[in-house]
Amino acid sequence: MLLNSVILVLREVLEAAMVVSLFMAFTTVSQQSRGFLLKAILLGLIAGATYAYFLPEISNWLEGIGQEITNTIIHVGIYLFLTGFLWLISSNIVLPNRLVKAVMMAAIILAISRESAEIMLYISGFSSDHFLMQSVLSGSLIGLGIGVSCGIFLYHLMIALKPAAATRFICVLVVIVGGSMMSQATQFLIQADWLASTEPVWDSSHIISEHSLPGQLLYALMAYEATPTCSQIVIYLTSLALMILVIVVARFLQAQSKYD
Amino acid sequence: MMKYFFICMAILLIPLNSYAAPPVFEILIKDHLFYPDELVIPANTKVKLLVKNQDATPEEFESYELNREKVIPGNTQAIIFVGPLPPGIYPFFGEFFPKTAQGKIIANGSGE
Repeated sequence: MLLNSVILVLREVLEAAMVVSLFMAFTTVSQQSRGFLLKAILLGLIAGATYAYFLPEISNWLEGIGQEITNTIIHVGIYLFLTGFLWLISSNIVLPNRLVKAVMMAAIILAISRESAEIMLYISGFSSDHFLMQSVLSGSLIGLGIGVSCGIFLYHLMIALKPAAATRFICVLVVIVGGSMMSQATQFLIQADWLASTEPVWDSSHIISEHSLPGQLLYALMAYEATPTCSQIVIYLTSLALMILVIVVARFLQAQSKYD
Repeated sequence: MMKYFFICMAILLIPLNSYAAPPVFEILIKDHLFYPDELVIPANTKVKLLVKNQDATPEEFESYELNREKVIPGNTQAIIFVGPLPPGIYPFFGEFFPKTAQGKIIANGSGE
């Protein structure tokens, strides 16, 4: 049970830790206080607990696909806030700015809510079994610890760079995470039967299996899928392209306004 | 004129079988085990899995091969659309109790 808990919690924490460490690095690079990030994390946990509590009802919405649609909305929401963040910082609107703060907070709240809901549901399942609960809790704590450490590692990797390079690196990672969100959203829409399910375009499971550690890490980073479908690839690439376009357009407009 | 032609073409392109409700297959979760743990479904057909979790604890139906994941709270049921799948074996597991909750879907070429 211990190892199961470590792996399950780690998988969930990694994704949220990435979003948080990206923004934490950004606040450090732009020399701002990070108190609001802590607030966002707390709000995210509250949102996660609410989601977990109402999950039985939510699952029944829309004739049984409420969970998929809610998850899609959360993922698309994160993508939109990340895109908004890219727009703002590419047009040189940096901290302290309320809008930049709000966009970061919203992305963190959404990212933490879904991941934490799953962990809370998982742990709550053992509430009646005192003996198993102990190993589940310690396993979860280890998983949480490793996940948070990965986030801290990423954070230090980013702030070790010069501010300009760090901002560029943050942008690249935001684009990668954004694409991953849209890829997962697509997956949920296929599962809900709102998007047609087609045969996988390729099968790379013999190169990197999704069961393996590298597969899991790649999944956390960029929603790696060994057997992606056509719609997933198209939406993934389109959302990456849109984010890059947003950066380019914002920079262009910024440069234009300088000449005026 | 062209407009109507395109509308007619578009309507003709909608496959008729998309109107038919997909066949439903039931899977039970009890004592952190799947019943049946081997489910045969027709290949190349979309099916609807009705997963009934009879345990008090939540479970997550997960399959890398099927690209599916869904949390099913205790004493509730969930639907998961699967396929159309080419013939083959597709393992799935319960992420919350992966040691015991293991199963596979067998997509059968003959359709049964």
